[in-house]
Amino acid sequence: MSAASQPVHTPAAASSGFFRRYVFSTDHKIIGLQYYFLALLAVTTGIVLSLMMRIHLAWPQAHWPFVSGGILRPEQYLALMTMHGTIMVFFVLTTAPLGAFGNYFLPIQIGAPDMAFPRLNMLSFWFTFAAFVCMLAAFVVPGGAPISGWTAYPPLSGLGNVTGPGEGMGQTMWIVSIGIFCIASLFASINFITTTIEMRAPGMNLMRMPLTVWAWFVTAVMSLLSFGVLLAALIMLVLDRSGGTSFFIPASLVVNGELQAGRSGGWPLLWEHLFWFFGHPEVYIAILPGMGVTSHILSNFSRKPVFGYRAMAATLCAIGFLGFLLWGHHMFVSGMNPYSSLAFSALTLSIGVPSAVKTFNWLGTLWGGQIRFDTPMLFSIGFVSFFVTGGLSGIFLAQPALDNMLHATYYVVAHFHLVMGVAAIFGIFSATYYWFPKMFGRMMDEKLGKLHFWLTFIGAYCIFMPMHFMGIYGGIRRYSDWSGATYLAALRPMHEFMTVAALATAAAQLIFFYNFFRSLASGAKAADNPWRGTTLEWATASPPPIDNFAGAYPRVYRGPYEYSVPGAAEDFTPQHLPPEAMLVNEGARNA
Amino acid sequence: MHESALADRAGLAAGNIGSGGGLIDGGGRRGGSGAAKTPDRAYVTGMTIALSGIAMFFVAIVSAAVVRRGAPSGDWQPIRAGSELWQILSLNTAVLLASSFTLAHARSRGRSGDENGFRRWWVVTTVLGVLFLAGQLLAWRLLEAAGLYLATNPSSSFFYLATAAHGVHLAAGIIALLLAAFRPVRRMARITAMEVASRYWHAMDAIWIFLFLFLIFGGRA
Amino acid sequence: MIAHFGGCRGVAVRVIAAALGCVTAIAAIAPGALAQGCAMCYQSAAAGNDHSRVALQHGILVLLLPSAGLFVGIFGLIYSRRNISR
Repeated sequence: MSAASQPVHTPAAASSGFFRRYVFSTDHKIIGLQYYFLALLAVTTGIVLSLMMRIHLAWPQAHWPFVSGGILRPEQYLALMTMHGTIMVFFVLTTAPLGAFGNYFLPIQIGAPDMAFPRLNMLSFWFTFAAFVCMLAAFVVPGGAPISGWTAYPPLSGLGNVTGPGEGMGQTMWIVSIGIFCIASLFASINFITTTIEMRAPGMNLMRMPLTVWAWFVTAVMSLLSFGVLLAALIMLVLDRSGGTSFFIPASLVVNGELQAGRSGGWPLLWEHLFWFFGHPEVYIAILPGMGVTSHILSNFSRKPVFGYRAMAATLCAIGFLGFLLWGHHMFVSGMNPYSSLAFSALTLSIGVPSAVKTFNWLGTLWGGQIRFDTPMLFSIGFVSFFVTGGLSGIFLAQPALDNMLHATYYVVAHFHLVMGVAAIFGIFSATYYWFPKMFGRMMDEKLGKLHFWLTFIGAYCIFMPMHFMGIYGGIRRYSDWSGATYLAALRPMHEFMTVAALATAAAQLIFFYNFFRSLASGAKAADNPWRGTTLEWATASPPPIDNFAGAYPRVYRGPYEYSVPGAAEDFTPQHLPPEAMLVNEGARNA
Repeated sequence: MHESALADRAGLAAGNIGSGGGLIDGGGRRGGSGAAKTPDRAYVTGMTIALSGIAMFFVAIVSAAVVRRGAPSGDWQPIRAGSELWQILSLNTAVLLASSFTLAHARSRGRSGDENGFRRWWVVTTVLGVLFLAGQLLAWRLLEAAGLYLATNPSSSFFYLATAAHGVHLAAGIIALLLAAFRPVRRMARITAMEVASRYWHAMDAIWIFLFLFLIFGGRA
Repeated sequence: MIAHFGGCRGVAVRVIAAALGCVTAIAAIAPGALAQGCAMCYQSAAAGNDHSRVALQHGILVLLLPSAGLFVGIFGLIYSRRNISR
């Protein structure tokens, strides 16, 4: 290495302008924050869309001020639903856990100065941003937003605007947006995987990595192997729409009275096959980082090591691997071979095993600990609660015979909202409250945090528990108005209840926004290690300097969760503390 | 040792990062302590990982073809464009395979310090790559002459899709080869840049062979 | 903490063996589970012919095997670099 011949170059902070420092930055911390704020913008949009859906479902005949004709039409409801799902799944649940927190904390937690490829990192963010702009553009192009759901099944999505409003330009913007997003994700996953493999600090072997790092690594591998398939499917869809091909479009379709001539025998099932190969790993991409964060936080606030660290790392890998093998459970009622269904069903049930191991280990981590119920801890416990609740309904859906009845009902909606729309979001919340002091050098308000937690916890259960009953009763999803079905009339009060709960829960999120931005401006100054954590992010300043460790890169001597080690002076032993320093009793603060 | 001698001759020492302003870089990672720099082996690992992602893209296309072939409509017909098409494709395959050999040869020349030999064989590789792409375009002409366009039938759609996707990736590979050998490389040793570019190239070759075999044997109803 | 984990290893083996035994027993005495397939038979008849069923199964394998292989391969890669640091 010819490092000696280079002058030591001080960080470019002073000499760079605003744009280089905060906009086109290659610093993983800035990029992480950019992802975070993008996700905040996206989640706000997604919540507004969902509230509009909920209001319409409860009061279908309500008058809407800015809608022509006054009443929300079914196509408009479907557009809301499509954009809500797409924005939440891609721009919130795939960006915040991995892109925001992963980007910010992966390098620091492994003792690296930055990601392996900082410029690629910057490119990933800006591609994601461009994708979001494209997605929002779908609202304003002629025809409006697409109506085919976040799953974009052809032929509805494959024929252009003959199939409905929004299916022309709107669907095109959607496809372009998600296509760009695929590329951004591929870039990001290359970065995450390479950084974890090659950039770890001395002493940071695999079994000393925090579980957050394990989770981000497995998530990145899943991302790497699934987004390419989605990209291929999207290209084929574009060719069907604009190139006259028939990958998915069957022959002789009559749509709205018009014969779709010139098509040969495409197969819509092919889209499902490709999309769900991506779609199933995608939902594990959404939840896995939350699992890592939960393990991390439960340990920190119980002052105990994670129960069964090796099992926790192994189950993350197992869930990642199994997550690739069971996409067919989204296709049980597609007419697919029942023996394939049996295989997918068995595999789907089997993924409950590592998930259960994780759940028991979380409980084991809590058991006998000196628990401190700070806000991050509350949200992590909430994560466990919602993960169990949501996961249990998955076991029922995994049976083809039951799925026969439950597919496309509110039972499914309940299931995925509880795991993704609540548990994963709780993971994001707990990570926010936990790492806010580190990222911004200020503490968030505890009282407001606890209020936010309790209102959201109760509110989310109020919103999503009734959906199970609705689904079993026969309440169909993606229908904008059940008024025509007398057997569903009994469920109307349930819709109203859920809508009121949704409005209240959404209002409660304002507490979070207020707390977040006020603390940003004037929160109490945070110490380097306010939660007395052991991992490397707590070994540096709050916020960290531009190269993360001010040149003094740590060496790692022990595992990541050495809390309450018998005989130690403090109830936590940081990873980077040399063994000789450990024995010093008084004044044994972070090095 | 010869590798770094070669790199030195090109004006760049291993691990050197040029300080020439360059593009947007908000992170203070230039030069400085060795600990702050991305190690060269990370670029090689990064390319391996990237190739895994790219591989899945092509796997998806092949899987889609397999499924589409069996679609209930039963309208799959194999490509019928005369034996010339398969001859051209076989020739292209041979050309691409040869380019992998010339690439490996170029690197071994470079390792033994024969810079002229290295340059010559590296250029031969890129020329073979360009020949391959020209041959693919010729294959497309033959298809068109047989009346097979993108939307004509499912197998022709897949043919164009697979060859276009591969062609685009290969073109990027040609650019990468040229940049790695002949432009100043700032972030890593030239040797590493060449390793990265050649891994990509060999992978594109392997993907083509896989696609080619699929087109030959899988194209039948 | 580590000693605590190590001491449980014998117990863990027995628990896993018991669990596997239960699963095998249940699988052996539950032919009714296969009825799930029958419930779908009518639907699958409408889906297409043997040819499409086989094609979908092959398509599934083509997606599954490379991704599983690459997944394991990447973990093999990080395992081979487990002791490397910057």
